[in-house]
Amino acid sequence: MSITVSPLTASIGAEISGIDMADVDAACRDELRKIWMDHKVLVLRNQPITTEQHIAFGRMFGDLEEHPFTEGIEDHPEIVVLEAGGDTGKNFVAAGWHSDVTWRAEPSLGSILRGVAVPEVGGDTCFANACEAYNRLSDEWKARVDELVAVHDYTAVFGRRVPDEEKAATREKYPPQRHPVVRTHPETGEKAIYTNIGFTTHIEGVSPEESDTILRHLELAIRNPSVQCRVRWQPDTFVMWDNRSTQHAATNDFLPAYRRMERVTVIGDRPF
Amino acid sequence: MAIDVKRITATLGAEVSGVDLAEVDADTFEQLRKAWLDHKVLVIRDQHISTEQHIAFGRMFGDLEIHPFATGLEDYPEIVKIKSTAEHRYAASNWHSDVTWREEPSMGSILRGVVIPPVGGDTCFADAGAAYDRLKPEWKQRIDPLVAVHDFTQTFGRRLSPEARAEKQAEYPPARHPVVRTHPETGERSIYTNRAFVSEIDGLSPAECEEVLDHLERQIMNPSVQCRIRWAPDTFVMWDNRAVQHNATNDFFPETRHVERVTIIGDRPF
Repeated sequence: MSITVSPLTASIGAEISGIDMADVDAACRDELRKIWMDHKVLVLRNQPITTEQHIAFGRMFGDLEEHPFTEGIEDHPEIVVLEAGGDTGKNFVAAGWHSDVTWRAEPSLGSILRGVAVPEVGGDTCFANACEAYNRLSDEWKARVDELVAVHDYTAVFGRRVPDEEKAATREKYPPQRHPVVRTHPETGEKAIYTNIGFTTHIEGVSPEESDTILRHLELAIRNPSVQCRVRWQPDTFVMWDNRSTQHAATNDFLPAYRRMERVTVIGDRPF
Repeated sequence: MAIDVKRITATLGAEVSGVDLAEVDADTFEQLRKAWLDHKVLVIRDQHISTEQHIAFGRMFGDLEIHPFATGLEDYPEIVKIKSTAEHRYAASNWHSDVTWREEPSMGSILRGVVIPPVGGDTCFADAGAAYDRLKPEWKQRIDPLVAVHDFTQTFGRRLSPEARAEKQAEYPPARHPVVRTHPETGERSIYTNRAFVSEIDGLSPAECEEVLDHLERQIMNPSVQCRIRWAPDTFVMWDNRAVQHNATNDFFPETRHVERVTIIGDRPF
């Protein structure tokens, strides 16, 4: 099997063809993993695989987490269902820039998302190269943020979903986590911005105003189209992204149309 | 001949096919004009036309301006040539609408891909009307009556000697435009400030002005009101400067990227 790689931009993202996700051997997995590290976001189209095969594909890259705050699929707790519009009564779309589950002690290595129901237009996902965003910071800003530690917490985004009687136990199970503001990628050695407005509550050791100034500056670095790519979905399009080196924002332009995606989330290691 | 229009996102942008820009008759022109107002950004690919035909196509929509600061093509002053090479790296990588420092800024621009890197150099567009719609009512109330001062100097002034700069400032004094403009054809209201050209907002302190510009730029920066266009040689993109802002990416350096624009003159924003 020969994999073809077509980059989407000069900074991030590639479309991959010549691969059948139902039939990936160890050699193919290793090649794909290398391409994934190089391009950070891979788009694989027309993969009509089963849910079990989606899970099995994810497991080739590591253990899969079970998300405590999002809806899953019966019998497949590893699948996170993201849906909005249509008859769901839901209009929440993760339209802010973030990396997945940074509120965990060991946040995700990467996520593999499938388009299930995709509107005719709209609902694209944008990805930002958090390493390139870091590289483009001025030397002064790099020096200012390099040694800082930020606190990440699920409550601002998911707190409302936790029933009152479980709030204390959930808080104890998932306490706020401290991660470096600039993390080093464990495989490539690249440095990346690792704060996001969804989950990062503040930066340690600085005033609230200073913390806010820094978080907003780093967010602006992520919100630069020159470090981004934009992916349009179809049913059975799969996109896999590296949560250690990228951030993403789903768009909510498609409502009230129905959009459903299914994700597996590969567990990562402790950021350093 | 009916043109074919395929939307790119749910907010703005469409790919148009079934049109030959060398031969646009009155009926096709009307279809294009309607599609342009509806979708704000049109992408028309594989148009192997001459520079004269590019200019003639632009003139169908209005008079073309001659840009006082940009490089033109010899014999074709209506063409703005934007070329980046390994030695001279340039891309307009900030969110802006074209020539808002003029009394009567541009209605629309029609840009052609001439030399395009194998990958990179996309242009992103933001729907300034959708960005305005998404503001909270308090923010709309706050900015609706405001007037901003637009000035070429912070962007193009750096290219000029002090003498040339003073001369150009006399010729192109700062222009005052509403922060929220109303589209003269569709009636839609949209954000009309940008970091490239706005120097101050009437009646606001520098700190308040900074707060407003920052907040409005962040609305424009929202991927949910954007589309992203990948170029190829002889791809033409036409955008409505009264309704959108755009940002050229600079991820392609040191590759060569060369694009050419005609800019249609608009009317005074209100």
